[in-house]
Amino acid sequence: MSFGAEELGDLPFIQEAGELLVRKGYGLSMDELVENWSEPFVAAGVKRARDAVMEGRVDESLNGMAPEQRILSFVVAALVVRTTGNQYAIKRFALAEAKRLEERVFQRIRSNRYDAAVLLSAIYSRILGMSLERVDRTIGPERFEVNLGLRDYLSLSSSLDASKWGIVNRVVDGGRVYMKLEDAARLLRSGIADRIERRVSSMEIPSPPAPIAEAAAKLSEEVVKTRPPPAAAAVSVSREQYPPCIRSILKRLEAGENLPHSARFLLATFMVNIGMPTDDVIALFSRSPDFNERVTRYQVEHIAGLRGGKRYSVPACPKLVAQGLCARDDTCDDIRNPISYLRRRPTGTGGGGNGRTRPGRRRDRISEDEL
Amino acid sequence: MVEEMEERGLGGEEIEFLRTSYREYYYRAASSMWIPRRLEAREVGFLTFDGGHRRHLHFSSPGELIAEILREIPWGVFYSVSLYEDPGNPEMERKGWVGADLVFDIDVKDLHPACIEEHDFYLCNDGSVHRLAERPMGCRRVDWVCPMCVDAGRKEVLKLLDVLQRDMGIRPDAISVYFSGHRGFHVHVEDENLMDMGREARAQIVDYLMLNSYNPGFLEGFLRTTEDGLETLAGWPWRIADVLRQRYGVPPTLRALEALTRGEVEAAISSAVRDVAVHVDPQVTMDLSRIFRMPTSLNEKTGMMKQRCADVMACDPLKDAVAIGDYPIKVEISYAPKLQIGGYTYGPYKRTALKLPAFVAAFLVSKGVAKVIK
Ligand SMILES: [Zn+2]
Repeated sequence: MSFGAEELGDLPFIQEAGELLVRKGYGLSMDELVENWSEPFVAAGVKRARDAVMEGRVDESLNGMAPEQRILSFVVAALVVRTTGNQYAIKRFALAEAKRLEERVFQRIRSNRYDAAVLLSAIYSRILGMSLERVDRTIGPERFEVNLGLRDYLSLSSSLDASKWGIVNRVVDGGRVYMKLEDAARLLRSGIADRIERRVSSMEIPSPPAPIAEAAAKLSEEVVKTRPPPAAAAVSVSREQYPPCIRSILKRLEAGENLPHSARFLLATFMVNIGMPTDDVIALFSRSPDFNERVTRYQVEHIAGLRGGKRYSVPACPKLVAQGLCARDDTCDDIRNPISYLRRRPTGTGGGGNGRTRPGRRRDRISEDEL
Repeated sequence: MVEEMEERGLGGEEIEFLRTSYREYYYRAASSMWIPRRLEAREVGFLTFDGGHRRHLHFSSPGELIAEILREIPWGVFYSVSLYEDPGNPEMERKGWVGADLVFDIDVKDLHPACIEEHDFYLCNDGSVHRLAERPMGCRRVDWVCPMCVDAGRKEVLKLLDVLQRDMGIRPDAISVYFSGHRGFHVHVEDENLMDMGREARAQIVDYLMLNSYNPGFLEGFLRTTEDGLETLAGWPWRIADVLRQRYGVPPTLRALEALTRGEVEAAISSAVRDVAVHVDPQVTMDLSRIFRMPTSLNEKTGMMKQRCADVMACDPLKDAVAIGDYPIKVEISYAPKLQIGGYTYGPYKRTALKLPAFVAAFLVSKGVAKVIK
């Protein structure tokens, strides 16, 4: 299928969207854009950038605009975000835009499942280069509408909660993973966000026009002000003393990666169990591009036992190995839980420890059941 | 490794004997050695007879690799499952990872066949022998291997092959099965489509095979159907239903199961899960910087070779993987359980000296339970 104007309005980051603009008489150069500076798409675009980066969403009022206006507002928004030069802002923008597309696909599913299947499979193939096959297969009590190749599925699902998205909790047959349309729409998010992020990052804007530069400066300031600094090292245990799996997760978090659910759970349980205050644990996650304070607070407080009473212990090493999170070093020999690493690791570099010294003083707070 | 050699009681005579046998094998097998495809992009590693490791070796042609094997006569030969732009670079981060074969290691020890308690033992410095259950302090565990071990591994390989082919859609001709030369099987998958999968994707594959994070509600949901509906199942729901059908003798719809198990459906499912789960070593599949034993090379734990098992049902590795000759060697054996190798049965032996075919002597010497007598 080729995308119609209506669809292209929601796929403003692909090449055909640019071609539509040309057909509608808009030039794509910066000068031509500035010529139309008084049109409503400019203000809409500046707001679009700000909403995406700061609120993590795109205003629904955009949906009422003509397709070419929607595309143009995206172009303006992308220019603003790119001009901030802030990678975190770009990631936030890309993610919010990907969520917007997902929401639009959901609307389509609600109105016409057949159309939505055609659209989804076109998005998979044209944008991600993946073949989402339309099928009608009844497996037990479930009816599946699409399937995706195993390797493609794995590349899109890695940051999602394994209890729902792990392949072990999917029907996998003949190298294909079977899904309903809703799942195929949700699964798009990370792949589309990557695509938009790369697209925006690669934009070259040698000398942004004044309005873009002004909007970018304002957005930059707001991002720097609200994005909390990296949390101080936890309690009395310094970062160098953390086990290698935790250090590796922190590094990935700082690189702006969207971590899989299992990695987040490990990090949160570890920090809670070494006695890091809940607010500091939440602040750690604030560096994640898809950070949502309310959800994170709920989860961390749950892990800490502040809701529901039961405090979660740190997953044991064999589990982490199975989840691909183990990054063992020599000190890991024979330990069964990352927490035990703190006891093994000699403190300082002078060799003063006998390998059993345990830094930190909150022994009473550490859950012992898995040691 | 040096410590391990001392621990196994390998002295100069023993090393000399093994090295001579290995040399004789490698010269004889030089022209038929298995060579990994795209050798030029792989790292090669040797375990040497002086107890050291030589890693980050790099060969641009099979001839070069074989020449180096014949020059060094290594105790073990390994190659990277990963392909690199610069495989000889000693820094892992600088090798330039391009992709990797998908490999699985089935270690019989993880399958807990009953025979292990029978034949594995502890050997102490004073020469005393203890059963596993005794767990004596400061003694060395000796792993043995018998046809039951092989059959336990074989059964697990068949389970793995079924999931790889049926669920993951991997073509049979992309899969090769090898006996490790000791007590396990290695399954190699060479599928261009799967080469670029990273650690996390491989972890997901392992999780799928082992059913580590399966959601009971997911499996149960598929049984919420009619008898006809059960016929349409696929993947794990299909295998679980199949086990339950065999166990209870009726089509395992949720309704039927609830009656049969008096409401203990989840327990019935989790027991079926234990039956069908495939036990592989997760690290081997996920660790992309690992080097893996090369087929047709000799295993330093036994002197047997890592041997292709073309027909998993029929292959007889304890016979086929014998690689060292059968000229007689006189050895003094401290203790050895019954050993079935090369088509015959040897032992059990206790504090005895006798002449044995070289491949049997090599097995016992490698296990550290025999010394060579000049
Ligand atoms: Zn056995």
